[in-house]
Amino acid sequence: MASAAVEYRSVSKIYGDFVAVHNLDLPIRHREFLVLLGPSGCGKSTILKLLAGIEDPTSGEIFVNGNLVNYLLPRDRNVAMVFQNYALYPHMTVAENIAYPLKARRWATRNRTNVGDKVLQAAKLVEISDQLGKRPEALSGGQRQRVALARALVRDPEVFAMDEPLSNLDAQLRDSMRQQLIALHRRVGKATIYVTHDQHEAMTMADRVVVLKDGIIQQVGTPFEVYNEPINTFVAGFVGHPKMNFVPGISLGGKSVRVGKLDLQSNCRTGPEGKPLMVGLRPTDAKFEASLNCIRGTVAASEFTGADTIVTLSTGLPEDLRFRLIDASSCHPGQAAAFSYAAEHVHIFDQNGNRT
Amino acid sequence: MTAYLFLAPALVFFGTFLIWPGLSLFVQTFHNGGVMSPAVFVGTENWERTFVDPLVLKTIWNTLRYCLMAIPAVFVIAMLFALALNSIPVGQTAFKTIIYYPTLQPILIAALMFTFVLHQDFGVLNIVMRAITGEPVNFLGDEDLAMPTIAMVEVWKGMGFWALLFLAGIQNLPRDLYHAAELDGAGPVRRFFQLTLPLLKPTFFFSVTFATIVNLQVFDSIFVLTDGGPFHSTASTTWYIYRSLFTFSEPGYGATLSFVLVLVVLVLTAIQSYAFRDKS
Amino acid sequence: MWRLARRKRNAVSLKPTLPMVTVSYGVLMFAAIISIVPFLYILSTSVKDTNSLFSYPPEWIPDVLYWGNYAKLLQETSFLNWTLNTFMIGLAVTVLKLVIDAMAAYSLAKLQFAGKKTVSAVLLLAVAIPVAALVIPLFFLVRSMGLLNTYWALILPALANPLGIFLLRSFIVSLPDDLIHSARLDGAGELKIFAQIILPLIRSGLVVHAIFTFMLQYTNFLWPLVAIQSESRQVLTVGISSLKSNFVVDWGLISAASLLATIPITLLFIALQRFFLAQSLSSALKG
Repeated sequence: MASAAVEYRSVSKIYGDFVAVHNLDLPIRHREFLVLLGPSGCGKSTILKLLAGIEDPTSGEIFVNGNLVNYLLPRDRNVAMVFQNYALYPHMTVAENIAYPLKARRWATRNRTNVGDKVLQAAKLVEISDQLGKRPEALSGGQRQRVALARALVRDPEVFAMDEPLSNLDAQLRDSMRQQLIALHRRVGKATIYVTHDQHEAMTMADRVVVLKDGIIQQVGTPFEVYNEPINTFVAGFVGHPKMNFVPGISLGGKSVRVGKLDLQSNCRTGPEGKPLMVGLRPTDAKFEASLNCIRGTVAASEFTGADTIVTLSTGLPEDLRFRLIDASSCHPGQAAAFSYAAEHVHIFDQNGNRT
Repeated sequence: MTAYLFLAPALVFFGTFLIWPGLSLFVQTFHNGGVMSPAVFVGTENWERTFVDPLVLKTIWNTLRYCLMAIPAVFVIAMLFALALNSIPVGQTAFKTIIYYPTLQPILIAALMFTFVLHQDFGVLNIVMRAITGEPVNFLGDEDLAMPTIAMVEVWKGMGFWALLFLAGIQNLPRDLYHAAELDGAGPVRRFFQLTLPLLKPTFFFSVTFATIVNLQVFDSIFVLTDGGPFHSTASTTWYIYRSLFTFSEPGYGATLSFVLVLVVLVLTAIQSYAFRDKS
Repeated sequence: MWRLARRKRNAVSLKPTLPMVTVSYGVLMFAAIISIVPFLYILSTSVKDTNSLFSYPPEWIPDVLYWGNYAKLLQETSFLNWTLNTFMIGLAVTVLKLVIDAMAAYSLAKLQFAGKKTVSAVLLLAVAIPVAALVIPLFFLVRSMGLLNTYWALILPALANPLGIFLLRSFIVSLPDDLIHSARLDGAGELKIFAQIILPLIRSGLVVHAIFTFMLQYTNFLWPLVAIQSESRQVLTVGISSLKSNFVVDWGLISAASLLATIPITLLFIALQRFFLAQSLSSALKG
């Protein structure tokens, strides 16, 4: 068995003068659920299309199971794709849709097996076997999604490519489909590349997350690593909700930094004294208490969201800071307040936005 | 590669029966003969003749005159029908079907029918005319009436087509705008002139351009109804082209006339595109 | 609450008022009458003999129905030949053009190739070229191919009209790209994608195109007049008009011919009414 299910080697994709993917090096392990995360236009869908053969790379090589696939037709790459809008064939029934990959490949003649059995097996796996006679238009969004999955499963591909498959579902359905997708992935055990712009999906589903911006990988890591040790301000800002606060600071040497008139302790080295820095503070890491390592200011606003409250604090810095409190009953607008941070939660970035 | 293979059959026919004739048309304007004997190069003789031939100017004027009568008339009538169709609660399909029916028939059959309807002695329209004015009208034999009569036949045949096209345009307009306009106190007449007409601009652009290209080639109805007469008062450019080839055996001259027709169509289409260009 | 009620009443009142509906029905009755009466008139004429034809005041329904015009039409003219020719040529053109145009439309709508913009621009420009102006060079071209006075003379040039490509292209463009990508991944080749995915999904476009093409052939006059000389190979339009060129015009015969000629197309219209009235052609061309 080759070392990686999929490997991109120095892959670039350029449209005219727009660089969609820049020099991508990325191995995807067997059985891995890899999530490509980034804002729209970051090249994440293009990376999938390059793998599937819908687009050709401008340069670089793509391997599936150790075989170079650059020059193979899409159908010969052993990659199945689930599209954002499902791309079900509207004029075929559910059964015909699921059977189409087998039919188009003359699978039955080659394998002397019943296509119907294969279709039923795939349909059962995604719990859609009671809808086989219907047309896609008669199905709900969630059911269409399942048909698209079954159509991908029926081929027994080496790799699954999924392009924002849950983005057209409503919030509740998305939650349950997310769990079912993960369960399915465990059962099937094939490498899956999953594209999304939803950091919540990425954090909950991924074995590893790849954060992308402008066609360039920012960070590859487990959800835990990406969240707790973001490599730069982009990743730090993109992952986590509410968004991380960034405030300018000046190094005091060692692991200390000065923000406005306050000094904060970090776990990271802050570099030589006097060096300008960017300090990142997650709203969710704040404690509503005045202690050593704290930010002080006046409460400008407080928004009750149900489970928690988002407090906006004016501190005399150019931008207001936001903090999340579970219990904000004693925190009212106009009042002075202080929020403290443990040293491990004080993220330090240099002037270019990179973690020190 | 596949893309070219899919395109190839269309391009073969397109090149052979449209582009090639188009190019040879230009070459033919410098030749004469060719029907019975081989074609002879005659230089710019045909072109020189075109500029001094009074009938050329007359046929162009006739064709334009015809367009200026037929197109506005058919558009106004069709719009009226479309508005009426749009405001009735029941029977829309039935009326649509009946009004569309004349459009199905070749203009030639319409023309034959009208030769008869308009006949000076026993045509039904002249029976009506005689009852009203006491005198029959010589619709097709009168120099001033012949072209308007031809335009009338073409309007009769075309009104159903344009009515349905305009109706489709009206029914595709956003309903919300009309509700908003009504809340602002705009009556049906103002809504028509201030909303419907401006919003239908894309439909009109297509319609005017298409109608102009088709009507500048008017031939069938003229051939059947008047054959260009009386005194060439209904001689259209296409009629002259046809006659140069078959009656006068002068294909070179006919080609030159054809070229003039192409130029007239292209110039008018360009002017229309300019007039309808998006001012925003 | 009051405002809401008022709004609702206003919204409902956008329905045409009673006077407007009355006027509309009046206009449409008028439209229906002028559309139908000429047909009834030739129907009446076609069942009259020469004497009652010129009677004054004219009778709409003659006392004795005279079928001689129809008999003469079917026995003494090539009317049946003309009808057969018209439908054979129309059918041939429609089928061939459907395939050719659908292929070209698919290529222009969904495939990438160098020169695509140029091809589209040339096709669009060609829409503005008056076909009547090409009659003379076409005559010589067809003659040099030895096809003058054959069915091919009517079939082949008709395949060059680019309008149909634009019509079908607009139908194909509206199909999502991912459908094609998906089929490609599922293992279908380009021909399979075209036949199994694209064609079934643009069925209504194909029907509209077929109707449009057939009608254009059926109503064609100038080109058959130029290209076909033999009477038995002629099409309906030119054939019927030739009935008029006799020295004494036989109105009963012409009326019978015109009326019979309308029957097949009327049947077609009734069968495919939905598509005739759809007018997707115009919306497609505007796009």
